[in-house]
Amino acid sequence: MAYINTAYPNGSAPTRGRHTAGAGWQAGPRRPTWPLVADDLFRLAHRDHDGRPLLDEHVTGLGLAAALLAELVLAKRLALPGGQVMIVDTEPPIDALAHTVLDRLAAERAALPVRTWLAYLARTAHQDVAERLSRAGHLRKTTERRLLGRRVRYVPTDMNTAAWPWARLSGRLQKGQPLDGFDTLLGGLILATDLYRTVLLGHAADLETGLRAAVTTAPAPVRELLAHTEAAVGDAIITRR
Amino acid sequence: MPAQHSADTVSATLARSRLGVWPLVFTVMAAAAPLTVVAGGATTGFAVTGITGIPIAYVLVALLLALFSVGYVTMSRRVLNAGAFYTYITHGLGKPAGVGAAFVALLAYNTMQIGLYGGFGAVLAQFLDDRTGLHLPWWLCAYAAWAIVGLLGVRRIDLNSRILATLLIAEIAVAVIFAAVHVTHPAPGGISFTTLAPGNVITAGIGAALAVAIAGFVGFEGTAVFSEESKDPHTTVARATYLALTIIGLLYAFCAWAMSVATGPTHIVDQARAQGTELIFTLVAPYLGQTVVDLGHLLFVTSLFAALLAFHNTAARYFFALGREGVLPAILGRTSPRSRAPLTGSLVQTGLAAIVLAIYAIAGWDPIVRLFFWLTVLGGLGVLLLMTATSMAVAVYFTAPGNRDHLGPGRTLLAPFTAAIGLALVVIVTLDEFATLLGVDPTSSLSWQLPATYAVAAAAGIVWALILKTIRPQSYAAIGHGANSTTIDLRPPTRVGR
Repeated sequence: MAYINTAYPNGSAPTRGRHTAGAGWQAGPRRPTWPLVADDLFRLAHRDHDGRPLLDEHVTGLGLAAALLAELVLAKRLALPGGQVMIVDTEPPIDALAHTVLDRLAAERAALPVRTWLAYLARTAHQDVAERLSRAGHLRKTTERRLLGRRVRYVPTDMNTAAWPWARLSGRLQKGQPLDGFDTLLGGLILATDLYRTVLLGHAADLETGLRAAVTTAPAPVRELLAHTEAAVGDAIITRR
Repeated sequence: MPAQHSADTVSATLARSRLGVWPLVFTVMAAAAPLTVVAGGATTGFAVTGITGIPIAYVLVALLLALFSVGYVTMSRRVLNAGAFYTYITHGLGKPAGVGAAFVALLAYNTMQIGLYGGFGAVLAQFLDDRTGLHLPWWLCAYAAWAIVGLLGVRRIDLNSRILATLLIAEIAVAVIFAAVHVTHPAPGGISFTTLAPGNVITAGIGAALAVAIAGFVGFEGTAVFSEESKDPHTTVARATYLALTIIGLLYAFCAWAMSVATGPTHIVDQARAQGTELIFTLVAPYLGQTVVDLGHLLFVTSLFAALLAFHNTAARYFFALGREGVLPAILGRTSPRSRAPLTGSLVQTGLAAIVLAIYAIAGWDPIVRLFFWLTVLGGLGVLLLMTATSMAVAVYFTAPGNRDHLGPGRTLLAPFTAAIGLALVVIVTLDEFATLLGVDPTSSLSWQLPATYAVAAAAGIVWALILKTIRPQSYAAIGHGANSTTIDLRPPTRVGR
């Protein structure tokens, strides 16, 4: 799977997620990194200054579920032959959430379809990813009193970090720069969830073309995952009740 | 963790959040709108067609639709797809027929929805006039509903399922109470079963009565759309379909018959002509308090509104699915990110309704007969055509032994084939008596022009499918997959759906 190598051309991820954050003060050997696709999708799906959701709750869940699977695909733990989720490497991921997800997949005797796992993971994905970001200090949990009951919201601790995936994606697309594997996946997910028109605001039509082109050249498992995500989102729209 | 145990966990966990039988029944019954049919459809049916056999027509249609449902729900186990009608037709009769069906469905559901505005506007205007002395034109009331439906459609705010269920139960309760009052206060001559006599079936004009009845049932077919979302696609959809059919079938027949008892079978047509949609209320007014009658009126209005919203969403969904497939412009496949609404599809439906309402308002046509009755019956005819084609498609699909698998020939071949013949006969008699149905002169060109719109839609769909085959093979391959069209190049071409 050649795309794994293209994900990090220099062998290290840019400032994405918490696993690289420690590398600053730890002068020793570089710590391994984990592609935190779900973290960046979470940031894209919420407003950077107050954490207000920009995307429907159910669709956000499906998108984050796909992102969690995508992390395992990027890290070569999963293959998706014919729409089935197959574990190809059981080596524990260094990320605790990814570890949990892989364990959950491994506990299943038979391979299940991508769509089943998307639906399953979508139930808790929002909470799981929000907690991962909170543990890393990127989000702060707040409880608002509302007319009826309370609402929990996760507010970014740093607006710049929260806005970075958006700035990076739209910047690269505007300059016509090629997207790496990580950003292609992220871009594919915002296309699949129809979030792109919110994210790439103002330039949606132009940038959409570039993004779609990047996605079509992605490796087969990535395209497979994105296609199933888009289908799941589409069905969620049709059968919404 | 034992593997066997956890395998159950995934499906059990997913099943917990899915639709059970009753929520599904309530969802589709909101579209069928029982009180709208009883108070509006049945009375206008008596008045326009001049046929007394409307009650028996409801029974006959319920039985025929039950037969249709046998094959329909069997198909919903095989092809898990939220497209239902046109997906099944694509599987059984091929992609050009599928696109033809999709166009017919678009026309039928839009017609149905827009027609309901006539009922809503006229009933609400009449009610406001009677109770508050407020003189509003019907189209103002219709446009008020139109604005709310348009807004709810774009924001994708559905009526809360509990509210919907409560309203439905209240509607049914009111309809049953009214019917009980009708039966206990019969016209001179006592309780008569004439309007339920099977002999009505062979009278002239039964085709028109059957078409009126079919229009009343439209909406029940929505169960199969939720096959993927149901707890168990093998039983939930089937049970919900039969249950919804039984409830509304019994209710319609009983209430329509009860009205004919209260007026006497010989006077039902004259009374319905004189009083229109008010008939059901005026018949009970002497025996029940004004509060109950007002409540009935209010529920009539809310039931019309629930049906408006349900068919708006159905039409928007069709636009959306076809946009996603690439059969219609991709812009129709757009959603509103924040609200999970089929944004463009919803706006297009709202726009179409605005245009038609404007035409009716400017031309000054009668909202009940020409808008409500004509268009909902025309919409019902479209759905009847779709059901006929679907039955044929199901029978053809299951002639392939591979598709039949372990399912018996009764429900895979015999039932859909018989239903196809039965429905086709209804289509023939309906078309033959379309002038009666519209209440126009038999020589009127409207009696063939209105049904002909479906022929045009079907032909346009078929031609467009063949054009797509040459100019956009990718879109052609995706036909019938709905939202799943994105996965089309990932799987072998023979296995369609999920």
